Amino acid sequence: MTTAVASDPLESTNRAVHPFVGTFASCTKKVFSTMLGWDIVLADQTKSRGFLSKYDVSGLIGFSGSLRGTLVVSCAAEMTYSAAESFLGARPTEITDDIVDLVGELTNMIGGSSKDRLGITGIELGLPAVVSGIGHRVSFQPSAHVEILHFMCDAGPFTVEIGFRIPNGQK
Amino acid sequence: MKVLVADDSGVMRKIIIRALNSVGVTDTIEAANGQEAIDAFKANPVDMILTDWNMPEKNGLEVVTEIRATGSEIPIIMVTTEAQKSQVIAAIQAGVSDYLTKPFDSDDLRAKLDKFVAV
Repeated sequence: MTTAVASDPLESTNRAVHPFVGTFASCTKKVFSTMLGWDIVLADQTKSRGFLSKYDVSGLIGFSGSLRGTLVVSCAAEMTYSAAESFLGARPTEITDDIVDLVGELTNMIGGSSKDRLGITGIELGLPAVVSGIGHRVSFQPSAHVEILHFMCDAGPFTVEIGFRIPNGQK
Repeated sequence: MKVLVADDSGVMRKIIIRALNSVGVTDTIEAANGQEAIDAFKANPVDMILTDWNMPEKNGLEVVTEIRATGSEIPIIMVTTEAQKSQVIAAIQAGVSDYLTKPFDSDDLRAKLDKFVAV
């Protein structure tokens, strides 16, 4: 399979990924730039199954209706402290209720804006949930199609994983 | 000027209140769900409401509907991730004065507030 070479990975069109992924990538970029003022770079895109995240904090939100799946935003604790500092003006030193709230909101915004830009009617968004724990893992069902977006920013790396059932027999 | 900010996210309430402060509004009330928002509206004379859509107890649409049913015409801005056309139409029909989709930056919020805030 051809690997794209592009100056901005978000503009890449010939990667072996599902067309949905570009929407999730651009919405993630917009959420981080508008809410945090952070420029993020899509460093890589991979596919996987099974256990994925090995970060400290993960925000999860489910899709139902005409698209069934889950979006997971995972990062290191230090990155959430930097995000909280940008949002709230003070830097926490541990996972607080504000951190959980913040990660849930960011996940909700990425999921919500992606839902609206996918061009598919009838998608319902669930309530966000946040999992924290050093080196925890998040897994998808084996039947899920899983795409992983690997982002990089000044505060460190993070991933957005999208596990979904491909609708209408699409490949 | 007193503004009621209703959102189940404490972080989001802080962000909105910080933006309100930046345009000179310092008298704010917070509500963490739709019922709290309605109760706060009934207990306090507020001049404007910023409300989320998806909240526990009662959602933002129910909040707007109940407040408009009292005859109040105060500005209500819906601040939400719900951006599909049908939802915007439903919000307008319920009586919202303006609509701001998340994610937004401070300039987006200030532009909405400037339409209604007189300080």
